[in-house]
Amino acid sequence: MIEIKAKLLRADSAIYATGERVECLIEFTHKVFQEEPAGGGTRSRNANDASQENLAWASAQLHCYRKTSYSNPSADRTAELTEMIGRTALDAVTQAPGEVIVATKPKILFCDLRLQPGETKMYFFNEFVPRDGPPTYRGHDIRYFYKITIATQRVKSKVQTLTVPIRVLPIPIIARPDELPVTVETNEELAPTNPFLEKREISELEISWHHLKNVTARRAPKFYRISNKRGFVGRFCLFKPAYKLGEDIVGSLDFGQCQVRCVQFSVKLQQQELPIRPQIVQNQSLQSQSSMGDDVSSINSFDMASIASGVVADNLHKSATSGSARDKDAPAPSGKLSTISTSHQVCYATLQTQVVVPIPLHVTPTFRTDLVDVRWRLHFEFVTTTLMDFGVPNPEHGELKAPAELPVETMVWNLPVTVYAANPLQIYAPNQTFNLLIK
Amino acid sequence: MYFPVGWPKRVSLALPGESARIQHVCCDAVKILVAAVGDDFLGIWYASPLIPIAYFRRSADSLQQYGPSQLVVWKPDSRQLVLLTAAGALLLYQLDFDANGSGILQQVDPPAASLKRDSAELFIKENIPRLSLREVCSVTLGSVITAVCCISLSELLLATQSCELLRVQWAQLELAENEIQLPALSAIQLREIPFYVQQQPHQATARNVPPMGRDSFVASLEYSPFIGGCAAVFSDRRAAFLVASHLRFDTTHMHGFWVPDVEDASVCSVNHKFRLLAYGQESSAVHVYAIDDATGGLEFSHRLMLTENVLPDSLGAVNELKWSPDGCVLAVSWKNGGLSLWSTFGALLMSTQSWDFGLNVDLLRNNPLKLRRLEWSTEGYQLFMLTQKPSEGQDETEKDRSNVLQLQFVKSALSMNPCMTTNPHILLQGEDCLYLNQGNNLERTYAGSQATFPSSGTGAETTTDDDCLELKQSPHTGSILTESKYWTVLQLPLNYAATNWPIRYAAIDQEGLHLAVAGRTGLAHYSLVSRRWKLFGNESQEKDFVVSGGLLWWQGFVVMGCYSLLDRTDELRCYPAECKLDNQFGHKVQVRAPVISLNSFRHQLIVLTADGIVSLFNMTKKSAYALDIECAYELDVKSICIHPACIVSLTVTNLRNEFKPQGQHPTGAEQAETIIVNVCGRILMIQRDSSEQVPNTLLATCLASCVEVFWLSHSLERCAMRDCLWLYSGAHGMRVWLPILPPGRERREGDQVGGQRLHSFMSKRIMLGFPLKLYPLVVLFDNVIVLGVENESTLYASEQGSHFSLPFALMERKSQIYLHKVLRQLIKRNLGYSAWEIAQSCRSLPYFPHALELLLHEVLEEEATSKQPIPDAQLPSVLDFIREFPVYLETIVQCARKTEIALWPYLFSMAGKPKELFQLCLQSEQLDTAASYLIILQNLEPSVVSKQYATMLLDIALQQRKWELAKDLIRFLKAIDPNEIDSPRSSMVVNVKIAPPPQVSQQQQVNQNADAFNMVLGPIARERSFSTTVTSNLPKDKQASATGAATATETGSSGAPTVVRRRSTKQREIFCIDLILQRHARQLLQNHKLMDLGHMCAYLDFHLVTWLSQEVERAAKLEDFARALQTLHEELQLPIPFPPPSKDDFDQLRRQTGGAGSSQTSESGYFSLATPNGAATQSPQLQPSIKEEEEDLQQPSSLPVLKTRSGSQLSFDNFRYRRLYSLPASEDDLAVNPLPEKLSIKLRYLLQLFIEANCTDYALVLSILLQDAASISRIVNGIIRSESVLTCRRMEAALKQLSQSTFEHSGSLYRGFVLTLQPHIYLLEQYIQSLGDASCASLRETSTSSDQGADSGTGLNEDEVDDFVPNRTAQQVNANQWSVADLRPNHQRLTRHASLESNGNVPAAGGGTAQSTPTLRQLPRQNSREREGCRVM
Repeated sequence: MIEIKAKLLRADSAIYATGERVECLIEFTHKVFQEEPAGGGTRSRNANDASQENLAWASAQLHCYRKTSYSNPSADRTAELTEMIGRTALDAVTQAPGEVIVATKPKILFCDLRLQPGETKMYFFNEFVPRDGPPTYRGHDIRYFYKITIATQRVKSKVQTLTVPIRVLPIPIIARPDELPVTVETNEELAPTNPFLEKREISELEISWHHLKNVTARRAPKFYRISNKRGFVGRFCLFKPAYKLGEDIVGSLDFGQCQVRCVQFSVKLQQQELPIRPQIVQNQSLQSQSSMGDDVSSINSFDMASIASGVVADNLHKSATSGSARDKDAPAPSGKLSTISTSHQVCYATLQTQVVVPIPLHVTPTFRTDLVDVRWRLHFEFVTTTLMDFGVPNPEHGELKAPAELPVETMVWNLPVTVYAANPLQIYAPNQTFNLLIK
Repeated sequence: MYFPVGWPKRVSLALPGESARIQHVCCDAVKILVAAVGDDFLGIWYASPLIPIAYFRRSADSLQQYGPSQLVVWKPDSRQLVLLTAAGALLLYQLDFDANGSGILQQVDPPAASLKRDSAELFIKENIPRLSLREVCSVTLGSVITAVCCISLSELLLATQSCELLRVQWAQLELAENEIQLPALSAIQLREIPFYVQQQPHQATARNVPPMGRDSFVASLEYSPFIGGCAAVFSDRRAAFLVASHLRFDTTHMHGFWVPDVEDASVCSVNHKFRLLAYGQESSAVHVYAIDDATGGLEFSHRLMLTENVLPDSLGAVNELKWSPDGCVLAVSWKNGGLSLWSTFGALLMSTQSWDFGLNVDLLRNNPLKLRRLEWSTEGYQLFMLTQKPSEGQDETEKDRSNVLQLQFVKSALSMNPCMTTNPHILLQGEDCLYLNQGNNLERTYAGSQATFPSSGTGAETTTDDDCLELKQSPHTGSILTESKYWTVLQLPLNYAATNWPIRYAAIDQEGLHLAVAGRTGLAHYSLVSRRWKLFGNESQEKDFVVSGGLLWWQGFVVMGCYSLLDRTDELRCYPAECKLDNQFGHKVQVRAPVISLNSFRHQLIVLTADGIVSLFNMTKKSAYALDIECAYELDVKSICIHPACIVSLTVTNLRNEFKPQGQHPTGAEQAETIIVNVCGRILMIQRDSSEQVPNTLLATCLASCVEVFWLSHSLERCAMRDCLWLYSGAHGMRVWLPILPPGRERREGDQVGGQRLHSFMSKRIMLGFPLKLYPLVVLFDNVIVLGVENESTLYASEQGSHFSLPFALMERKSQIYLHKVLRQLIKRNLGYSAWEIAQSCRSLPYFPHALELLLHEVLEEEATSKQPIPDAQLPSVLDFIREFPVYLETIVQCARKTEIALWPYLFSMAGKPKELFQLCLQSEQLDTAASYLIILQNLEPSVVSKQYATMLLDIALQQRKWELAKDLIRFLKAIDPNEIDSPRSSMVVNVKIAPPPQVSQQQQVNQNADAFNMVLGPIARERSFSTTVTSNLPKDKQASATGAATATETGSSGAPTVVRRRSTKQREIFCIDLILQRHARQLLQNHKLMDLGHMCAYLDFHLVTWLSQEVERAAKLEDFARALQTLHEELQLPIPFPPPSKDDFDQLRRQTGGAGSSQTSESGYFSLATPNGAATQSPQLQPSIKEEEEDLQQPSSLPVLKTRSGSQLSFDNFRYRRLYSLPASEDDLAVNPLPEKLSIKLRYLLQLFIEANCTDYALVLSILLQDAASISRIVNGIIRSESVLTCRRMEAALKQLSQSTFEHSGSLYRGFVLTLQPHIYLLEQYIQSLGDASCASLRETSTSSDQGADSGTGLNEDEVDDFVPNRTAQQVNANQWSVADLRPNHQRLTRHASLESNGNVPAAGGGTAQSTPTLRQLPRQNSREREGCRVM
């Protein structure tokens, strides 16, 4: 019996950013069980001969799958791809629960491995997570997920596979990395380049990561005056529009000098899953052309994740906030909404307060593929009343009782925010060893 | 363990539509209602959500008669309130529940659908009672009432200005109806009762000493039933503790204690649970006293004084003290502003004085947080803070604003649920959310690769980029310390939180996978795996019980103490995590009284109930969904505590005071025998005698006092510190109660000869104390680290006036190593062996060396700066201890470099002479450590010595190819001021940083990738000019070569205003360095180690061209070209050039020439073992490099193991040639450049340098290696143009030899290439013939001159560093040569432009096979350069 164990090196979190390297240790052990009677020496020697295990080959590969309930515009292309994958002779792919949209080149771990009883061989597999793949996402109508497939075959038997799921976080691709201010000190730029002086190369991923840090840094606060037709309600202040996973969205609310009393409010962090409708063919080609202009990343892949860049987020921001609370004109499609966290406060007596909405570490950041557009927004509901007092004048002397009822009105407001990936190492998600027994 | 979060909220508690200052805020006993008092009104609010219920405005008459309201006190049943006015009158208010009508302020949606609420959370489920408030009566006494305090449901205590204490019944108050005289139960004349000063309670003379002031009266009063008395502050600022000998308070039975040392008290507050009295002082300190059980008097516990970030006396008097409802935290505010939180026994948790308020806030003069009153609300999640009346200078907006702030807190789950100390996760609870910080702080690393982010495959692992490989052994797993800042915030599900706010108990299981919370009623639990909450399906079941006493996880069950509202019984309940949360799956056990505390150890559950009985239960798991709880025994603990509520925490354990011999109870190990109880901070241990069934409380031993939290380390595998009791005592720090095991050998002997008896007088356990900088929440025993949370703040905006100009409070997880502190304590007590055992078990920890360093540092700092002589210095024993570990040398030097120089003599007088330590480093090949010692040597020894050692180290560093180190050493040597050479160093610190860790700044240069080199010729050109015009850039070198006569002119160029004598010695220095470098370079060249030479030049700024042009006729001269080529191949780990004749057919050969395939290489099976220039030519000093070579030879197939090699080695990417487990290389894989790209760039670079220096021999070899025919043709042309027959002959011979050896070995790589060289050979032959005898004479001349040069060169070569001075002639020659070199660049510059054009057609003419098309652009320049070189020669 052969046991295959796979253990990711990053044991504290099976989470990787796009462009990072997945490293996995794969162990093949020939297990001998104790039940076998420790009989005569000759017998065991015979048994030894027989029990030497032989594996013909083993390979490892990283796949990204997609499972969707959308009618698939690119089905034919996927079929093409699966055909192509079929050529690698790895059945594993076809067994998978979804369509494969990204697959790395399979790597052969070994050919013709012979294991003595009790012997263990360990192999090291590493592979870059495709830079342009979608992140791991589990939505309403679409799912993206990644798995490392380790396949092996014993002589004259079926191919056996072991899958190790990993979570992938998107790091936005930067169109022109050279334009970004380089992060390392540059004062030695003028020194001659001697090929013998090894210099650390700054990878594109690092640049992207630094860019992401810049984008999510705190900037000048933005103020929003909240008022309805009855008057001024309050002032909301948000300190930045882009956040990383695990951060808290911190805003402040000031109800001072209000004309309408806000009795309570709730702020919800919502994920919007907007399907990108299959376009008419000509339309699609047009779109693809236009997209080629501004987005370098979307040229070569058919299912591409392009994370909303800062610019895009800003545009969204304006359009959505300038509109009134209730959309008058054609309502923007809200897609499938899921509320991730809620902050609710009864602010009857509050003059100034804060809104702290945590972004959990397990959600998927803002991203976009050719099928789906996942966005984040803050959904505000303010419950207001015009009753600034108890409906009766305050007495000169004596008791004042609160009225039984308070007429309220509710106003709704959406404010888009962008959520980016966090450093995968800071997310604690211990993973176990995955193993497979081949009898 | 309370931590503030966010900004304080500002709330308005005034009458609707008005703004008024609030004087006092007070929560009722159950903290559901809040009373807010303004000058002329009283408001009753619902605590959460904060919604007004009723107001009562006082009439103008009343206001005039009694003055504005000051203070309000609730009756415990929340039905009545007493208001104290400024004029000392009492106003009684009655609060009535209004049964008719359902609630108040119920929100009604408008009919329009779009304006209706739609989120569930907006519909408030909380039913806010309708209450009516009325004034009952006003009471005045003969004298002014100064303080009010509620004693019980029936009684009030009033203090009057006439120094009386009146006990009044609430009911009487009501009846009084404006009567002047109130029939008090008793009036205690404080002037009559005895006051004692501490320590002399029984002396009659102590009575009334010091006497009470004439006009003084009680200004502040607080009563605690557990203390049985009151804390009081008198108007003359004296603090007292008033107590009655029995429960009837009257004059005859009362006595008081003056609080010693507190003469300026301002406020007081009482902690019930821990029985502490806190007195705030005018001097801004707080004194905290405990009750001395023996005398009933006061016992000083600790003093709270803010010292950090505070100027002395800037805080002003303490103006408010408030213990949190659970007694875990004391909030203190000062008159001049500021708020701080202290743990029970005085650890500072938070202070606004250390917050970052931004630049434009002057905390001294105008503190934004000037508070007057504090009040904790429900469960301590909020703190009401009333700001002081703004001073006159304030602007109007400040006056208009509400003065009530509400600060949110989260607290550690330990504060309510002390049984949570057993798990390694930090769990904090907010009012409706949980903060969880998980994750090992030790992250495992494999194969030395740190799991950094982004991990894009840099560094040591580039070689394994695209390969799966077999690992020979399981990879090394190390670990690094990581800090995780992200908190997982879990919000309570709405349908639970809406009706059960706030969280009272929170618990997490050992693995950190399950969480449980209990609010006002019921329970909910959460699985971190599925991220789902589980609530009671049946809401009435949820509403039917209240969790009390504690909540814990045990093997998948959540266990709690609770009170069933339905049955009105107290119970223990268990619910399995896997099932639906429903009573039908639950298990309950009735207990007699309310559960106060519980804990579990293995399968035992210990429960304390309010009747003072500790019950021990055995739990057995019957199935995944069922368990059985049986009571094992009960124990009455009333004798050890005043009240069961004073028991802070308890546990049961098998920890024992002494070690019983192993044989005595073989079965008893399962059953825990010892109960540990924390009573008011005192740790009592109750052990069960082996003969008895039940432990006896009379046998309780007190282990420690002032303990807030304790932890037990049980069965640990790794750490030697098992079976310890850890105690945290606030200001007194951490303590550990450690078992002392006799040394292993002794122990065994002891068993045989009954050694136990021999040492029976020795303590088997020891209590060690050490300070901690953070508040510990979790002790990770395995990692010898404590984790805690610290309050941090960030400033969001500095906009004045907005509330976010205050800092935003955050929490940060912190960790602290305690290993060194424990070790130090043990060493101090001569328990070195125990210390060693502990240290040994922690050696694998990544911060172990750091801990040792800290250990040394602490002791050193303490002892070296001590004013008086130390009788028993600890440093020697600490040093001896550290010497036991291999990191000794490193630890010493690291510690030394972080301490002042003044302490060094002391350190090294104990640790050994730095010289010797340096030698030890060299012996153990710790070069970097040795380099660190240099700076110490430099400061402690004369410069000559440090110079000598540095030179020695440089030599070794060069041999071991530690280029970075060598570079720094050269910098160090050059920085030594020659004037200092003769005088001993005293205290000067040189800022030269020696031996920085690898990858310092200059390595992080931008974007030097391989393609860029080929593409961008600019930098190369620049480099060339740099290397050739080097003399102008580096005057030092010129100085070195120049004779004394030239110095005058050079003063200007070097720009250093130095004396000639000094400079000459400086020159000598530099010359020495150069000699070393040159000698090493020569060795490298002679051994054909071109790559090392390249690295050396690159790192050390060694001017190769200049040097090479000196060496043209010496080291750079090649005798046997074929062999040189072969050696180069070996060094570069390329396939051998001249394989012995083998079975390979021509076709395969062709493929090999096309691209050296890897598979063939490994199939051929071995490298040539012939190393003709092996050990024979190498000096013995070169040992290390030989070793390296052997290593390479031993693994000819060189299995690509994950091997960490020294940084400089890794640069050439030769992995392609070592690939084994790769897919069969495809055709196009083979078709690419035969040399790895990086290698080829390097070789080309070297070729360039050799050509520049006119070293035609090496240039030729390199060109062949590169298979660059164009370059060869240029070389040949250059030689011909140089018109030197000798060189031509040599070249011809070389080419011939090469082609010969190529054809001798049929499998040669270069066969094809050499064929193309035949024209050149022919050309040379022709030329030599044509020159014939004509140039013989001139030839002879040149040869003699070059011989001369060679002679002097060799002379120099063999000279020792020190005796170069006599060898003036040699220097002279050198100088001449160098001056030629100086001239050269100018020539070059002049000719270069011309040659650029003129040579444009050379490549074509050269008939190169155009094999090097990408470098075509390069060629003209190379060519021209080379020609210039020739011309100059």
